[in-house]
Amino acid sequence: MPDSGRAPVLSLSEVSAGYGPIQILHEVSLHIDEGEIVAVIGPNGAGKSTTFKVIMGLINHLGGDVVYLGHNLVGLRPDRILGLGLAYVPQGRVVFGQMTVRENLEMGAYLERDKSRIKEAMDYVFTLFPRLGERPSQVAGSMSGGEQQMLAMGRGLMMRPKMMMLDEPSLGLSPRLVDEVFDKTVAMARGGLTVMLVEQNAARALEISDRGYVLELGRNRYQGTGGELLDNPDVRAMYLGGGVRGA
Amino acid sequence: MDDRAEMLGPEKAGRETAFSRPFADTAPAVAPAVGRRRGRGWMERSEVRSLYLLAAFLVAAYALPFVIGIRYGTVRWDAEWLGYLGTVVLSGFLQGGVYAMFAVGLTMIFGVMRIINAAHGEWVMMGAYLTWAAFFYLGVDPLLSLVFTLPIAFVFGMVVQKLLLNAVVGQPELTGLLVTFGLGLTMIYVAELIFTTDFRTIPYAPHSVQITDSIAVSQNKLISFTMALAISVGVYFLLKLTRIGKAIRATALNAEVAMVCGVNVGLIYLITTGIAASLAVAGGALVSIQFGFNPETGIIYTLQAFTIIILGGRGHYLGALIGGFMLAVLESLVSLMIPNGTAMVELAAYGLLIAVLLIRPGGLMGVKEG
Repeated sequence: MPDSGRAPVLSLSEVSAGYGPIQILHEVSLHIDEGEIVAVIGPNGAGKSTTFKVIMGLINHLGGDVVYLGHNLVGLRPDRILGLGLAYVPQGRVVFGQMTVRENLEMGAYLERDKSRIKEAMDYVFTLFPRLGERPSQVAGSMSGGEQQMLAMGRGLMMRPKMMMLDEPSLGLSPRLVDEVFDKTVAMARGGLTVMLVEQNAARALEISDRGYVLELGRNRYQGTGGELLDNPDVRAMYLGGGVRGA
Repeated sequence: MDDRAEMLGPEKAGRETAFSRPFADTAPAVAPAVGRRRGRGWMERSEVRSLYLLAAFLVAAYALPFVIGIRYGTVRWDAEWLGYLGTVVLSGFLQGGVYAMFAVGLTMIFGVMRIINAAHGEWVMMGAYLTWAAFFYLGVDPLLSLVFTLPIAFVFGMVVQKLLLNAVVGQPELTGLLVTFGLGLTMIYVAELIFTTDFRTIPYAPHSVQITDSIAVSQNKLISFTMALAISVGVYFLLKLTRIGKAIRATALNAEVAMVCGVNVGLIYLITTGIAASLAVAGGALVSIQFGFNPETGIIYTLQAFTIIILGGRGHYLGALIGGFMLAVLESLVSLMIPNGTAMVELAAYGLLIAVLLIRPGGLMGVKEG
């Protein structure tokens, strides 16, 4: 792994992955250090979400190492990976629509047996997302898109993860809510959480990120600090150029 | 982004998760709340209209037997006939509770795994034979034998899941239907080999209980209903309140998100099928003390359970309970009032099913998915 003397929280080295016979990721390498916000950006089909899914063990791993805090994640079940403190918030504000806010959060703490720790985690989530705290008995499917995204993020926090992977948290949200989601992401990071996020909204994502990776067709293309990538003329032209929509 | 590949992915094909929702990524502005209508506090106007239509239709459906009965002179309004009517409706209602209980098992398997279990009636039949064997060879009381037939059923369900259903989870629905159809046929022939095709009965509490002067039902019906209700309510609260129950519901709503919440989805599949098999076997025990059965009886119960869960809304627990009562009461009205009973009973059942589906394609509880 290049730069940074510290051991990274999560590192991928030359990871290949795909769905059945179709290979999506080709030897992707990246790493995230403690307390960082790292954005993964790129066009459609770049393999951004696939990167998350191979980390979580949801799709076929074809090669390379995925190491999280000294544990090799390859071949582990998703529940084991979550148990190690790595949370994943899938794309599309996926909440359990027929369950209440509270039940959704309880599902997030499914692996936690200690009631008082669940209570503490829920209090923390309600402090971070006051709108969830105002309506714990509301059915999740009846909430607005932004609230559902907050709920999905809150659910990801219930196991007190060390690191969270956010897949397209701003997808389909109004500009005001996009701001709110990014603000909350920064707030979570300040609370000590290491955050890796995949975003179409590349400019906004890089603004709040310490570093970023640009993937293209399942391969590493560029990497650097958020500022460097924002200033890189190639990156600007390809992914940020013109008006970046929704920013 | 990875849409094309995602549709080919190993996860639940044909199942709407956020992962498999095509175009969600390329058209972010349209993505919000697609297919999230259920659970809203309000309803669309067309939905309200369909409810009125449904209510009107149901009134007509239950009135129709009376109309035809008057035409054929089978309806008399004297005290004796009203007594029959009360008896028939009551015993239909009691029967409905038992139907509903094993239909719930079918709906659970469908809800969690999107597998249509065509062998469900054969599981009921297995329950009837287990009860019969325990009664005749060991002399065990049919209700007492539930103490060991239910654990046997649970293990049987898990074995079926492990050996058979795990291979077809996530495949197109037809694959699961065919595999379970094969399982059902196998079970029929194994049962014929062991028990022959003779009809069996278990004489149990056949006396009738006088509810009012003119309304009477048999003891075994009352006992069956009480047991079925207790078991159904128990399973309902298991799903609603316990940790494992919540995990089952979460898996039904979205298996992949349940997985990233830390739910061991493979274990949930095993438990779900175990519970479903137990419900079917309990259903078998409860019908075996009321009706004769042979190895081919199961098919009737499969069709009945299908009708009930499609009526109530696939994958919907309360829908299955309501569907069970509706079907059984209608059947009993038809059998009382319309000549040429058996054929008409079937006709009425499937007529009801088709009409409800035309008005509300999702079934009574209108569940679209999960």
